[in-house]
Amino acid sequence: MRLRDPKSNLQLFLTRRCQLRCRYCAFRKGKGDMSLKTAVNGADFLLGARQTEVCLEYYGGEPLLVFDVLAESADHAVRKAGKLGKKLTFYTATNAIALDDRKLDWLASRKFFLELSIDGGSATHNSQRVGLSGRVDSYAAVEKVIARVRASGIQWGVIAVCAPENVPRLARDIEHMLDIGVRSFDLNYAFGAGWSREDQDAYFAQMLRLARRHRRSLAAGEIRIGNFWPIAEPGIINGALTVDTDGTLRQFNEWMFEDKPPRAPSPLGLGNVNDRPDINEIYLSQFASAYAIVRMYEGDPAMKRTILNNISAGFRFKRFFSALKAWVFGEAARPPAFPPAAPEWRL
Amino acid sequence: MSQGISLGKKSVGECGRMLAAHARSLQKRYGRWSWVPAESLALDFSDPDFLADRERALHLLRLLAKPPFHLRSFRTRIGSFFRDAGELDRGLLAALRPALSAPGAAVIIETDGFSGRAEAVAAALADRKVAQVHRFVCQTADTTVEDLLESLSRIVRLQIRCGEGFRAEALPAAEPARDRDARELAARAERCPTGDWVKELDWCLLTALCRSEELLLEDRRSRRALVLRAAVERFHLYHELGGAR
Repeated sequence: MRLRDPKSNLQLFLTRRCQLRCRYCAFRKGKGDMSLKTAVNGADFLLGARQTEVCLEYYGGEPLLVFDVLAESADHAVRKAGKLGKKLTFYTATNAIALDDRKLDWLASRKFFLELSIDGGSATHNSQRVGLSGRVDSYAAVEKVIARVRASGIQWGVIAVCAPENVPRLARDIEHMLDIGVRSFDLNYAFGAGWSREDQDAYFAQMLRLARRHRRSLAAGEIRIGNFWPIAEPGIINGALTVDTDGTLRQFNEWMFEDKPPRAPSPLGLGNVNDRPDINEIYLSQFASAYAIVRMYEGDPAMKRTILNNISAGFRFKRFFSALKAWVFGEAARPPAFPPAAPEWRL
Repeated sequence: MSQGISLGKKSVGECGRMLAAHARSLQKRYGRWSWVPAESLALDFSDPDFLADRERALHLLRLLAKPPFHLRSFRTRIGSFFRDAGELDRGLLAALRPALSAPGAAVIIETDGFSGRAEAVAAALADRKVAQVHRFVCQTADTTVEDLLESLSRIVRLQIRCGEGFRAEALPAAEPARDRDARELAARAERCPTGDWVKELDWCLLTALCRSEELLLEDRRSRRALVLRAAVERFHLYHELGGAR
């Protein structure tokens, strides 16, 4: 008998290849694609969940570089979900460089939720999302597809990562994205960066500014900020389950520091989807997630400081967005004050 | 409506006469026995330790296993479930189920901390399908972080094992823990803001982990950090429900 915390979402990391080398991305790039067999086993692993509603998510690297595996595994999952009577949804995030009409139409036909990786206006975006070859204008690549994405009828939004140095431009960057037609945002603060108390407060100030300006539209649902419904904050210990290209099961936060090799393997030992484990036996709480990542960096004080900082910051972000949501939707009379710093551990 | 009945130092005979008098007063109040609402036949005993007088308790339990009255709740302490030799009193346990068979009936057990004895009693009650509410004190002056985590992990185990028939409620401390970390963690556990003991245990462990790491970053030989870390290591596999390592 043991506790179970079965997951209803699974992330498949289809490839380590990517056209970009985003400055905040710790994912170790290189060769290595997920085979169709592993992707199908991953889908089967997820569909073994007891929940009747599950979501299969495709990430990378750049998942559209392995589109055939994405498409065939997704179609397999659809057939199997139908037989099992499960409701299956899909998600993918892309830098849009490889997003052509064929892929877009296919994703729309399967009702994917598509998130475009855009960090703001071209200056902000290109300052972080640099090309592998140095010749890629990653902002231009994503901007040119927005009109087609809007026309495709697909449910879509933007996933934006804000590094501390870009906080002063955050509100302006989101205004820019609104101007080019974005209406759904998932706003991430860069993991693996140190977020000082001042950085966090500046972030909150930018969000308040934005919320004051667009409160009516936010309340009416015309603009959506996904952070208002924080499924998993602090993000660094959200316990999301991922499948590496070779089928190894990992927790999400292992990707956030992958370019800084850990001193020890993860104590979790979650297995490999190709061995047909049972997703219902998985237990990944916030503590379990934090314990694993902290122990992986035993003997690395700099990394531990960053990890603790990101946990603490994550709790503040969660409290702030929760309070901001309450004000936007009229549950609180006043805009939120900045949350106090978590007393348990300092920055 | 039933009120709490205090047995005090009444003998078995006196208890029987008391119940008979109660029955007469109900009949007088409602006119006919068949008009007495079921709610009025439910009895709650307010004595702090109903089972302390074993023979009297057994007599009442047998009496209340039969109509017209039924037992809704009584309070007791962990020690009363054990015989002098330190073994569980199986005769007493066997008498509980018939008496506490009405829907909503439960034994309320008050205890300091959540010891191995409390866990043994809870398991025995669950095996006999007796609903139970454990009111426990999270912290005393001597409580350590490890003690607190031990209590919470026992509660989590019992929550899973016993299901809906088991509830745990934290009581405010008469005297807070001298250990600062234990005091802060226990204060939150006393509130149990999520109402979910698994989440509370997880939160305590997360806090203890992060605090120990922060302290170690400041001073690798921090005694406080090492105490916290040892506690975390003992309970980090709590989800396997196998007890501390």
